[in-house]
Amino acid sequence: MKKADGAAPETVIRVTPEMAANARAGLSTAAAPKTIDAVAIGSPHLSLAEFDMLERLIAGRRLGVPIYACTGRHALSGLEQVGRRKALEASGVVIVADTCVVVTPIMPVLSNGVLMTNSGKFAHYAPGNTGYSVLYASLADCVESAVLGKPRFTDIAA
Amino acid sequence: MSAAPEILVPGRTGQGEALVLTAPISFWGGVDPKTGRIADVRHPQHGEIISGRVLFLPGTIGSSSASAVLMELVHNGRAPAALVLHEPDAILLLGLIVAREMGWETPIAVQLARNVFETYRGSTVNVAGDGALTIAG
Repeated sequence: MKKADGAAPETVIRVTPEMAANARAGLSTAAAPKTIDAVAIGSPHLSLAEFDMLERLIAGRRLGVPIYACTGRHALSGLEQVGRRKALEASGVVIVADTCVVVTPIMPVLSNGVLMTNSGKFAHYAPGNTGYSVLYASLADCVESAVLGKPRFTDIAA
Repeated sequence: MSAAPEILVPGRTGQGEALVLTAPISFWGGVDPKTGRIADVRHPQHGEIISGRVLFLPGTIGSSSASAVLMELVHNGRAPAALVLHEPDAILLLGLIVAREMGWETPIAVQLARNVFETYRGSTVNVAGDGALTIAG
């Protein structure tokens, strides 16, 4: 492969499905836990469109463990105006505004806590900053797991 | 043996057991500011304590809050005895500069090529005021 100026690249990395799978597996640190203690989403902060998706996935159910939903005040004001924040909180969603659970000590301190997340950034920083071990999963699996209080993977097993 | 690296940030001369990191680290999320323990579970030196050690850093990654962690380590008396960096790092070392502005005593930071880091592994290393590294024992 040559660059436009004709110089050869220093190295060529060919990304394989196996490399992607390994990277994804490396985001999880919890070894086959039976239960989870919390779900954290919203890094980057949730948009209104993502809140739409969250509401569709929860579908009025009551969560077994909290979903910490991190967002900005601008998205939040849109939710509050039409009562959506109250409905989410009634389901067991904990809204976190203008910060997140790996920067601010929001989640309870647990010695063997397990956090599920769909955020690569949370997955990277949560073990060191919160003490929780991590399971990385899709948003849909995060919501199903929060409802059940235990990990459920319908997407790629982490 | 001795080497004379360039001084990146002047500070208190230091002596301590060498801690040679084998992978780059982000201090934010990677080092506990209260204990000096490497908290990044994916880092090869996870669990090691950087406090009081001559810390050899082959590279730093990310977070712009790394400077705050280093400053807190200084404030908590949990800073390394000295920092040896492969290359200057404006984010991390800002922590030393701000800590010094606060009137706290900060460890010296010097630059040394990472390909000689292994020379110091397992040794007690002294970093002098002129930046010179000496194996003390």
